[in-house]
Amino acid sequence: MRTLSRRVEEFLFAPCSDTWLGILRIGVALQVIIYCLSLRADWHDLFSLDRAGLIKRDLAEAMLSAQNHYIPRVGWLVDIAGRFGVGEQAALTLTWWGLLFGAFLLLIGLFSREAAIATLVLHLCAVKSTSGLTYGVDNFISIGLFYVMIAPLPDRWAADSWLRNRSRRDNHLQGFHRRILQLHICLIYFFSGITKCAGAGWWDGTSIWCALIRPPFNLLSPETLIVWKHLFPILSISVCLLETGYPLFIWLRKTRTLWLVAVITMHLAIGLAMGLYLFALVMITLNVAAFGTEFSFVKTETNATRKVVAPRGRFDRAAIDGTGYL
Amino acid sequence: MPANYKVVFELRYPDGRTEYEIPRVSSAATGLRFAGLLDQLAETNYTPLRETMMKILAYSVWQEHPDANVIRAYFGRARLPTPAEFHRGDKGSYELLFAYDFTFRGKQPNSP
Repeated sequence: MRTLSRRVEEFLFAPCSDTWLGILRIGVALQVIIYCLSLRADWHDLFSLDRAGLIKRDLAEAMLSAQNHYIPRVGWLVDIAGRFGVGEQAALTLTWWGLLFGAFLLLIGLFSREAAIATLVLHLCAVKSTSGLTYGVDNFISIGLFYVMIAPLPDRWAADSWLRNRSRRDNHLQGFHRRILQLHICLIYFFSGITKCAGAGWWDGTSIWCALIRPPFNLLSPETLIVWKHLFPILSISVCLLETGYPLFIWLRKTRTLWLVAVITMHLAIGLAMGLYLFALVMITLNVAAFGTEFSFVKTETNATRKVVAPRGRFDRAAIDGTGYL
Repeated sequence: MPANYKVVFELRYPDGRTEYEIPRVSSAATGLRFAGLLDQLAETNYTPLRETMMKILAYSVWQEHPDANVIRAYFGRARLPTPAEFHRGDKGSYELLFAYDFTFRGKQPNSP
């Protein structure tokens, strides 16, 4: 029992450099900046009650209130601004600039923690107040921002490290936060894969075909795609296997490179073929932050660590080298 | 994989004219999000909520065409062909799921 708890502890608190955090912070900050810029033209139409927007935020916020009164929303920000005599349009403009500024601070790593909290809250307000107009990318940005917010900031690339002389945190704490992100991503892929496996369209390739010809994702014409029709069943079964098998094969030393490269390729292909660039970017960021940092940065640290502590077994070696991989 | 939904508005004017309009957005990013809204509309089983959401969409169109007095909102689903059907020349078809008539009076009221 004691050995088991020790193994769990070693698994959860395996030492790890802060490279993953730097990648996650920069990737997610870029994502929020692109989010802001992509919605700039429609920002007031999306949130203003006075403009001819597609769907009013009061409806989305009324539905939110039915679920929970404490979910952040743009209405709060407008109300607070109103108490200072700031009108709705100006409050919305300030919110947009606030989100962009918060993401910029996060990008350069200045006041990282404060910037992460502010960016997460403002992003959640925007997303929840347009709940009808959100899709997966918004959830993944929130997930990424949440992990940055609770992570042991600052990382080595953050301006806080060299400008404000903030000391970097313990490697075991870095490892713990990264491990939670890894487990979270494994769960996401596993259930996504299982859901796909349950649909008949994913076994004969129809789902991929429909996804590619469905507006507004139809960047490629059906006439071009039909030439490759025999590939669709292979591709869709591969996607099912890739996602369902992710929680297993990403941990095995022999298969993790293959799996990571395959998953990143899949997201790149989705981004390019369907125009889901933001979605591709956030998924690649999460994958690289969680599992991709060993490839170029950790090797030196691994060798140094191994000199100090003699490996006691297969699991211990995995824990000692800071990866947790078997 | 969600289906492919469409919404089209039929604008009727007092002089008997009829025009057709679709919701417009300023950027491709919002266009992607709008597809999600249509999915959500289709999945909303509570009819009064679905009608309210459709009315808000119709109102946004009416603000661009304030002379129209009736807007009929058609909500439909596009049946996408399978690769084999497409190979045989089938380009798919549309199926009407529901339609609502909304009457607007006066110019630019404060709310729908």
